Amino acid sequence: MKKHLTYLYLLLSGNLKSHILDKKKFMVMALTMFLQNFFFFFLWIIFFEKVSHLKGWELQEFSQMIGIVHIAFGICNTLFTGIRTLPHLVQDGSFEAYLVRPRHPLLPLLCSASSPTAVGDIAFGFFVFPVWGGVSLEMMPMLVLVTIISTVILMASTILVYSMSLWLKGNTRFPDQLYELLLIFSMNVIHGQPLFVKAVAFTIIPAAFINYLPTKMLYDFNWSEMGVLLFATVFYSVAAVWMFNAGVRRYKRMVS
Amino acid sequence: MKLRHGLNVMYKAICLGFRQVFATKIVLLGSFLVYSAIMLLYSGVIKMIPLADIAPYGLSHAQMIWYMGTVELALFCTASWVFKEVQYEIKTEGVHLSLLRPFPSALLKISLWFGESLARLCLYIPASFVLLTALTGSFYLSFFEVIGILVAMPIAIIMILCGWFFVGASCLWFGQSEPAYFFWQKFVFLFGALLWPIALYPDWLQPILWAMPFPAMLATVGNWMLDYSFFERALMVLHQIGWGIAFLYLLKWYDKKVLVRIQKGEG
Repeated sequence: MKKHLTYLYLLLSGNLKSHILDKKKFMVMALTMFLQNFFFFFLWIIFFEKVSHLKGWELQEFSQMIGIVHIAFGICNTLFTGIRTLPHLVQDGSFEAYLVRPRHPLLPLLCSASSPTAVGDIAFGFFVFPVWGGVSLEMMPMLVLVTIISTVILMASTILVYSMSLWLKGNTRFPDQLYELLLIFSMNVIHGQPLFVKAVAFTIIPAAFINYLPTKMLYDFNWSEMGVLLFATVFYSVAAVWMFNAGVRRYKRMVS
Repeated sequence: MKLRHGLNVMYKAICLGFRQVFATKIVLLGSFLVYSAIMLLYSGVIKMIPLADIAPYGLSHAQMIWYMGTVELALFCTASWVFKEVQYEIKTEGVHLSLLRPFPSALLKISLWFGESLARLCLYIPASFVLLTALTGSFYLSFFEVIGILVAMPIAIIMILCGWFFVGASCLWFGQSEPAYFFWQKFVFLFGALLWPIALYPDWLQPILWAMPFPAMLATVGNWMLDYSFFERALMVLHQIGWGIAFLYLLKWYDKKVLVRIQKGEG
């Protein structure tokens, strides 16, 4: 176990150091992301100035949701965004470099890239909670828990989406579009949506487990929904690893 | 002769762009899938708005959905990732090849992209109208309004594409185009009234918006779905044409600056 943790630590620190070397660029990119998030959020502030509520959701609930999702996206893209390079690696054949290593390729692939802008996402998430989200100190333990769950499910979903590139050799744009879809669903209000949309958000595009249920746990906690959330965390994580392994097996067959 | 030659080059580039789009059918499908998802989600959100909240602004749920659907369509027809193409060419010095041609490289690029956008528009307009009709349960556009959209859309597309060119080439000054991209994209979203019609913006912000080019890129296209008087529509058309011409002049000026910068080996 200690060996695995040391390995993970080395991968993560190496990944982060490569970006923090250029501190000026890192700061500019993070600040830019923070500001662009604010501009987009401002659209919703304008909206809630004129609209009283969305089936009971007001700016406060929406802000909590946005905060959780931004932190989840921020963490994933700061530490594990390497998976998003998979389509390009498959296209130019450099993915084979990961397969000849004596370790499983997923972890080094995840930690092979980092997005400096993602720190701006994390900062924006933390900024939204107290300013518009009305998050108090008592809510903090639950907030930390649901944010971790949200991050794990988002990571698993991202692996699922980009693992598809092992089947779609040569197409780099399609997995990006599916990821965009996940992003769009995760940034939107799932609460109060029609049954069909909810059905999609709880299954194919598991955004409801990334934004809706974690937010709901903050203001309306119940054990049954928490159980569902925990089950989804395990389910999508296992599915992601299974899908990636199946893709790697297929890739190996194709290149051999 | 010069003008005829220029128009001929642009026409060829537009045709080439038009054909190129069909080479990546799965991307076209993926793009429309993303558009449909956005519309599905936002129509759900819009239908959650209490009617009493939007009625004072002369809006209904169906109008807001049609507005957003049309505005999003303008964005989806113009792929935002093209700015990276410009950045990549500058960074890899591939831009030198395009500068050798006896034709402004920016205009050639915009023509090519315009052809691509036009192909997407031809495919997406019928599909999106079917989708929006299904989401709202009504199709209430008059012939006059359809014509209005068909005129406003290409002008908006050209302006958006010029914007992506400005952003892409900004790496010559800032080292990277991404920060400019983030700002520009969100300015277009926020000040162009992407999600909600300008009527829902605060009163103090509305005149400021109309002093900027952003509503001409998005809101003007969507406003054909809302109830405006003939006079208001005419003003919006003039506003859009004015900014469209200004953007083409800006492109010409900017292209010269880019050329000088590259020739000096700066950036």
